[in-house]
Amino acid sequence: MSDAATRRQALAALTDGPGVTPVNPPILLPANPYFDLAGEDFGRRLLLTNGSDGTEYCLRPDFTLPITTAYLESESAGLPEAFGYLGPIFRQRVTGPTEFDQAGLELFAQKDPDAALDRVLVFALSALETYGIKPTVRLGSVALFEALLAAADMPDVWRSRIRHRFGHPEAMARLLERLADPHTATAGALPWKREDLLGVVADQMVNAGLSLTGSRSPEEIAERYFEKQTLAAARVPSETITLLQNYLSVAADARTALISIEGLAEDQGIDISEPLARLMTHFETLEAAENVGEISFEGGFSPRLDYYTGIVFEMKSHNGTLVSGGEYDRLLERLGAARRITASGCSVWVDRLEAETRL
Amino acid sequence: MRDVILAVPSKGRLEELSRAVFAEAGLSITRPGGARSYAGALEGIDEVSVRFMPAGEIARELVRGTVDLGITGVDLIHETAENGPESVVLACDLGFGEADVVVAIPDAWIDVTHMRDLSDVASDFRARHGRWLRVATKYVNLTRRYFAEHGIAEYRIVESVGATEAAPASGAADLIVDITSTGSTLKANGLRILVDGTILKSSAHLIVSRGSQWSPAQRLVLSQLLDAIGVVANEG
Repeated sequence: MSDAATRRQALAALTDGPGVTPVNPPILLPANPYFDLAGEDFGRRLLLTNGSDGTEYCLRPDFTLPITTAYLESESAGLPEAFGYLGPIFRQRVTGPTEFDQAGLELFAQKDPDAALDRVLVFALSALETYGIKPTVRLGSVALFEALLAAADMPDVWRSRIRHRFGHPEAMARLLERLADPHTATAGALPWKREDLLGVVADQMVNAGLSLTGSRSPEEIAERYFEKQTLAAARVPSETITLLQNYLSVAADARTALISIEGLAEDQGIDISEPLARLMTHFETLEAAENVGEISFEGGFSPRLDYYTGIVFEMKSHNGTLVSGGEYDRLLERLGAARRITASGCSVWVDRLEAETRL
Repeated sequence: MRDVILAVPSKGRLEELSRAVFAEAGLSITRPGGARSYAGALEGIDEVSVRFMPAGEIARELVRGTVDLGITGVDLIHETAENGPESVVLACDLGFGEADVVVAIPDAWIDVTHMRDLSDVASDFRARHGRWLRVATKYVNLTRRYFAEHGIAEYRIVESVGATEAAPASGAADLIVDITSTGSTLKANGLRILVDGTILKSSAHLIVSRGSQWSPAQRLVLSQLLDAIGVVANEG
């Protein structure tokens, strides 16, 4: 057997190992759930096709969504499960539609989320080892940022707005700059009494032929209008802005980074020791592995998708990202679970591993 | 040598103004078969053959490289394909067909003036309304890119080919991305452009395809043509 085939077989064995159920979801999937979950930005990467009744379908662009959906619909929903996969996915690239293989692991409702994440990390490293690759690792933590944000001194109205921009460096930088240089609210000619303002908005809507209930209601608009006035007046202390900016700019080897973040928090009297300790544990798991290069941590690193919750990671070579994954405890709720079910996993870009060994 | 193929809008005001630009340069576009014919010529440069096509098709064929150069709107180049702008060179702004692609919201949304407000509205829209914020547009690529630049991911595009400005009133969408030259259609429909809602300032351009095969002889014809229109051809 050729080297390539041997490697491939070893990788397949990882996705079919002890305690892992190998799964192979359909290649043709309804497109709507992807748009619903990930929005237009991911939607543009789909290979779409239409049923004769107009329903949109796509070629499987990832494994996580169909696996998670099937798990939620199964009898074991809510029970600990581990799924492995290896197979083709399809995405639009600038150069045209592309088919490539992905392998991965999905862990649901594990009793010990820390052990689960370590299992994911070890799986990823094993997959890379199969191909003789010693990756660098990039760590981030949604939980750490959320803990910092929750404890930082600022008016509550701003917290959700800042959180919403986490993982989008440009939008975040713009918001923090704006906060650092607040403008006074322009009251304008609009009435300040709630009932009067509601009347003005409702009149405008009716005149424009807009439904008062189909989209944003006059109440919602008026409420946010007043909130915006309040926001403009609700100053975020400059120390807090500096803290956030410093936190987001942290990018160093993980140990140094975590120590400097600890220092940042201590200076402000903020306790984020729990998520920090968690990160340290998983950093040590990685550090103890043999085939691992430099491990870094970046304060601002997060996928844009809002269902990620805890630690996130990428494993890379100088050619790019080979594995990405993390914890996404909000995913199952987003897909209809009645309660929070922990989830973690990763996906391995098999074509990139294969390209790597050909170099 | 095969002729250099120049695509010209096939009808209406765009055709008239295109002809006028070439006429000013001492080149006259002829259409021997009349208004319904597809092929024409350029009097003055024999090596150019003219094709009359709808402006949208011109953009598509320029990006594909099946015509060598053409006159069409920059907005259409962006909209034809994600790699549209990279696939062509904008040789010359012809100074007509000026229009902006803009983000417009119902005027009644008094709390929304900038893209950052829209970002806030989008972020909790689904929690409030049980569906995503909907944007009606035919400019799918431009919208996706602009919204992504502003950190807005939580929305859906409703593709709309005509009368986009009516989408909020009909309930098909909450806001729109559309092209406007004076803004009067938007205003008449109770819509307002966001302060930072101009995605693209478009106008008709003479556009050269990067994808088509340019032989040295054809390059010569191209530079002759561009010189005549008043452009220095520095790129192929």
